[in-house]
Amino acid sequence: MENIIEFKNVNFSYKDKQIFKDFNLNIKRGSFTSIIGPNGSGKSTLMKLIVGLYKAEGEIIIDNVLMSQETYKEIRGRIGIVFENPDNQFVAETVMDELAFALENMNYDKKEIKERVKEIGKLLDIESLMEKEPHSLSGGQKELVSLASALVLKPKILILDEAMDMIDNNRRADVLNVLTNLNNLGLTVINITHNSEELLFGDSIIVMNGGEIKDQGPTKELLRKEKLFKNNGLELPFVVDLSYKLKYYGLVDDIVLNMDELVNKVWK
Amino acid sequence: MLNNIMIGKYYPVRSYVHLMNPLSKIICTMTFVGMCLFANSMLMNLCLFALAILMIMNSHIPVKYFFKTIKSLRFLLLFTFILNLILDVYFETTLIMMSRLILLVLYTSILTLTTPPSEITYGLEKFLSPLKVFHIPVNRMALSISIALRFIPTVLDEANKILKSQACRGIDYNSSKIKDKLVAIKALIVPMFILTIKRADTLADAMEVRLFSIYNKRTNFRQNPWGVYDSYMVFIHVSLLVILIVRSVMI
Amino acid sequence: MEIKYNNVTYVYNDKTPLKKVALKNINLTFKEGKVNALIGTSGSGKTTLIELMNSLLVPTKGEVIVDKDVISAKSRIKNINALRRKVGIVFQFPEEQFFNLTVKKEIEFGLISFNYRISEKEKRISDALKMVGLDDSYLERDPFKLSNGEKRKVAIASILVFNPKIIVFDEPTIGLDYDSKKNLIKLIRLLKNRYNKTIIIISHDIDFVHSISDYVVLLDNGQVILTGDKYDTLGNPDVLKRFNLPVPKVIEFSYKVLKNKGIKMGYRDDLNDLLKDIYRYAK
Repeated sequence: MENIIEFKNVNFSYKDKQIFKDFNLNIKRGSFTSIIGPNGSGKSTLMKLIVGLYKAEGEIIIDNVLMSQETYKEIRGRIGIVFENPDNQFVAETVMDELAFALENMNYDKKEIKERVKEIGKLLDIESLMEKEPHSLSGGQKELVSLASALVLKPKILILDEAMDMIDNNRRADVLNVLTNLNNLGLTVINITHNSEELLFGDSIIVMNGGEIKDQGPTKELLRKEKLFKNNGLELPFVVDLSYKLKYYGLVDDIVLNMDELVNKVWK
Repeated sequence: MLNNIMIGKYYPVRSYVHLMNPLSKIICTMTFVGMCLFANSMLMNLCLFALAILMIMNSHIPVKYFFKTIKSLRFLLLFTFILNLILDVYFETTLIMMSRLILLVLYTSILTLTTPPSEITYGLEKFLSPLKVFHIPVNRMALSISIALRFIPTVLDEANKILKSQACRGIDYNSSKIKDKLVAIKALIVPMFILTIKRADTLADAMEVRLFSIYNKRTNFRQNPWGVYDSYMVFIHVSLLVILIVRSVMI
Repeated sequence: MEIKYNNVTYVYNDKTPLKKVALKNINLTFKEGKVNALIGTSGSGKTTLIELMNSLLVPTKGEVIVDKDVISAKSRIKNINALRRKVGIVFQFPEEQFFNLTVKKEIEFGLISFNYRISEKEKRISDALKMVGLDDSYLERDPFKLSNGEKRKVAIASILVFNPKIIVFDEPTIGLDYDSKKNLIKLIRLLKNRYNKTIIIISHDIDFVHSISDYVVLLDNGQVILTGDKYDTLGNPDVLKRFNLPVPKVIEFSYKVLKNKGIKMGYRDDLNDLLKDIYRYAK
């Protein structure tokens, strides 16, 4: 099926407050989608519905499987999640044990666990951290460890829920580059965020507000809609905002997503 | 800041004892406890002291930490001494009682000073695994304990941060008024409580999403190696225990 | 009211295997009445530095001078509460410190060591709320039931209520979306311009730092690497990159124009100023 995630007429209330009403969503297989919206727009609730942490009315279909009491565990095995504060999801005393956790839960045998952990360590370049305490690592390293522990089950979908709030722009770009590489290898990535700069990574954007999808589409197309962002309390990424204004003055003919490219376009 | 070094007083340094498998350390400690119970002469106690001193030297931990542990016992030792004096017990018996106390505390200190809490949990889990025959969920209990332990530094950091925040707002921790003290306690406990519950929620979600279930069988990935030194130590301890038991039975 | 660090060294867990030198020989003066920013990668000692300011920590060596108070291992401060009233610190995620049932009680708490009449107290609480953009309707509400942005504001108000001359913010932008960040910037400008407060901010958000600061201190591995006004520090992309710090986007653009096209445009405050420059220099 072309869509790896489908929501059909989903209704969901939490503590007497209706969050989603007749909500529909489609996320294409193999895409790298950014879901952006101000705080309280329902983004994190969406993630919880995708993994079956909350139960909603309506149809939720993940990787061709309809979400139900019987199937939610199977679905979870196909999704990796990186939560907001890595400190609150670390379970083990060493990074290696942390990575092994999900595999231990699935009762993989020791040899297989050892190999997978090594593989993931190499992929994310965190082999040197294996014997360290997750709590003692720097912010950027914690992000990579959380990411690794989500990837260890080789999921089809990776969801990041405002996971990069605590790290600076450089580390953020590093992590997003890793995600881009993984996406190129076939992983569907969903990055839930309120930081506009992260929109420059990925191929599609969904703008949410008040439990509704205000708009969605390919990255460049959405970034051209200045009013959309303004009306939903969001800012544009710097380079897009700048190129938008330069376009107005006739110095460039379209928005640009990369700073070097913009410099080259203005001074040909 | 206040880390493993406070809980269990783990002292990180390289030594043979530090590198021993936690299971063998627990076996040795348990056997030593057994030996203390069967050593009913001053001579035997002195031999046990010799063994303890040997292990202490092997652990490369500054002796002052051990003196601290004994120092914390001083009231209990004094109490024992006086009580036995009043009850008119043989002097030798009194000495044996006091030396048993000291030996037990010394040896368990070696364990806690050379083994980080997570390893102790691992060792205990393996040590108690025969109990699984009686359907006691040893693995689950050990996992709960190890998760709780891993959060100790996080919780301490948080408590620190809250104490500092409240101090910045004017809480006087040094005030002698009871009302002030109560407010100070409330200002620490309420936020900690809420943070802990929030964290438990998030952690439970994170674990569930990684397919944790108490009903499933879990692999236990962590495998500490068992070395020659481990077999050697266990052999010595168990043999000594056997010898002591035989001797005390024969006398 | 000066804030001065003289040869300050701070060591955690001295004489144990977990010893860590968080600050080494720091010499530094913060600018009064301005917005001072403290930047550096995590672990560089920023939080330790500010905790020395109101005596939450005491230097291992050296002294910190705040107004007339001297904080050092040798001296003893006569009135610690008076010092704590001069320097208000808003920690990371300040809303985690809530423990009262109403917003009013939570903010009132900051006045605990003062002896104000009730009418005066109430006025101060209302003023503090107004400063952060909330009105009196919030007074009887449950602080735990507010939105994240509102909680953050109440937490800041609980520090502003005792009118500190120096306000320190540790990572104030974490968890805030674009709207809330705009409000925070407004608040900081208000505190500086109308109330003449001295502001000190720790932040990893370099664009935020660029938009708000006057004076910047770069810390790395417990040592002061660079201090100076905004343009001498943030306008030095080579130094920032050398210490693994990101560069403000407005500055990065001019930097790239210089490196790739050889045109020197100068460093600007915000996008609109940059726009004018580009228009001027583009062929």
